[in-house]
Amino acid sequence: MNARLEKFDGAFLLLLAVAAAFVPFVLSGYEIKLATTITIQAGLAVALGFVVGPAGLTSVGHAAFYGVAAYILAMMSPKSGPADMLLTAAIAIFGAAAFALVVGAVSIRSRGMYFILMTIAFGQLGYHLFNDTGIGGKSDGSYVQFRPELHLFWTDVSFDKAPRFYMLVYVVVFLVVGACWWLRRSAFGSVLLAARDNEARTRAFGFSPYVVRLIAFVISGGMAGAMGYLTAAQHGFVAPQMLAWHASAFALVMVLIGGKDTTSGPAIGAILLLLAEEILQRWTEHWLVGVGLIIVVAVIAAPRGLVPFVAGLFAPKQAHHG
Amino acid sequence: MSTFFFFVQLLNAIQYALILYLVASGLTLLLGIMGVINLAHGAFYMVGAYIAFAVVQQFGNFWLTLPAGILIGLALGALIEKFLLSRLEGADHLSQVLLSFGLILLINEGQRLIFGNDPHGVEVPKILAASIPLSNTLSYPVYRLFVCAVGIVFIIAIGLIMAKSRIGMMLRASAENRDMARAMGIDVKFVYLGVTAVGIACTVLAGVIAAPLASVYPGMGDQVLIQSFVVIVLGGIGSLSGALVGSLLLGLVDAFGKQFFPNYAAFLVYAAMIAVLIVRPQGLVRSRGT
Repeated sequence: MNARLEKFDGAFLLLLAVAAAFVPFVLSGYEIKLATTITIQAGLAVALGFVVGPAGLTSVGHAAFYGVAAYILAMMSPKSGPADMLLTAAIAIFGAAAFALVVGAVSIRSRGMYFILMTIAFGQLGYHLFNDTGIGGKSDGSYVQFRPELHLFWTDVSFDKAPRFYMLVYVVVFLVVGACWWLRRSAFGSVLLAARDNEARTRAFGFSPYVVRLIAFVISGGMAGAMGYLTAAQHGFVAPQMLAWHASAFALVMVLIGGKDTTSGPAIGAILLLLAEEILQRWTEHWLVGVGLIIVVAVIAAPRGLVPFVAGLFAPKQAHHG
Repeated sequence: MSTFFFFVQLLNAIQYALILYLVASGLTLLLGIMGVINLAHGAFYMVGAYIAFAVVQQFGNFWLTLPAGILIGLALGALIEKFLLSRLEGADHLSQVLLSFGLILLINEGQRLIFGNDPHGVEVPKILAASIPLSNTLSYPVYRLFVCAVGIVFIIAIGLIMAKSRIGMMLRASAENRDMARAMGIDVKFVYLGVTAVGIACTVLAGVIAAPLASVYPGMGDQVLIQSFVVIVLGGIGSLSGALVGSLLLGLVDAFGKQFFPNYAAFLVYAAMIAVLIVRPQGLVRSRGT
């Protein structure tokens, strides 16, 4: 990533963080719920972008980690009252990360097309686990009757009100996006980039590309799990489709539209895609035609994504040397 | 379990394997020769089934569906290569995955616009509508044997073309080394156009002949798509013989799995794939472009 793109990336992130902070004060009712959904999906896209971009791993199975965490919350939620948020969230995120560790350990050994196919297969494995077998209510899905509560010292904080739940989502997504931003610029991020761009040299420096990729994959899987947990808490409902490869592909679309080589790109991709969906849905029952067209046009016209494209517009005209 | 019952399940397994092979061979050619991952392959399978439904409804003749499916498949493939895939040359797999995902959404919604959400049936042609009695209670439909026959003819034909013909040689050369093939005077662009057209036509054909076996419904290509990915991973990317081995393996796991562990059949398929990949990360049959 060059310096100009990095500056744009940071500026976009700052802008998004400030704009998103105003949501509970400016919007109301349905709009806050929509903003909550979009913020969660932006977090998922940024987490996925971290493995697709720097780690060079095109995962088409991230929805499985997202969905597993959602199911963990559903299964741990008592029928009679709210679950303990810290406990259930810790187990859900840990469960998603553990699943990512298993998937990554097997899949990262293979590269390119094999990796893509394996992540699809693992995602479908997860889908069938909840869709076909008895755990988690089969294809009907399962309910989270009460939104989890945060037990802080002697008080219980409830998130039943939409603005407060939004603020919780904001904080969690802020942390996830911040972590991805920091990781990309850290020494670990540099090793990831090195492993992507020149495996042999990275190895010569004493790093194992397999291990650094696996670490990135597990971190990202755990983050995806956090987003799945929030989604389950928001809607009070989980379904096997949350794990299916369509959901993974949708998250990948967000990453690509915004730009996988930036942190802000996937978030912007998520916002644009979900807003487009929302508008198209009001307009026509066959809104997926519109989404399909957006995807095809985006892939052909701006394969590097919107953020690098915008940054490129501001590039100074360079004189040719030699 | 009676011998007849076992025999019927075995035939079902082979018949399903041959349909999978029709889909997977097109997919593996695209993967092996062009390095293109096409997620929309399952959607084209569905297109084939709906072509069968529409043609039988309009003209009342099943035999017209076969040429109609092949021609539409060839045309679709050629258009997609000409206007979309050719623009992605040099791009990474991510772009291919998403381009084909966009196509899936377009095809699925197009299907909903034209045919609606209801499942439809396609009647088996009269001449093949009979069943062969095996015992007092079991019989086997002739149409399923017809599907097997089509599959076997296809295997022999594509095997001969790849191994013996000049076109097969050009395909293998382009898969091996694109630039060298170009330097030797092979029109690689034309090869890619042909591969995409034929690959997609195979899948459409599979959908056409599968239509009378079960109902025709939205999203019917999904399972076939993922299972043919499993077939390809099992067999090794780009290997037609590997795809055949993979198809048969998967057909057996699917047919017998559904009998004995109905809730875990789909699960077993993926477990089998992952087990193979742990032992042999490059698939069971290691070769490219043949």
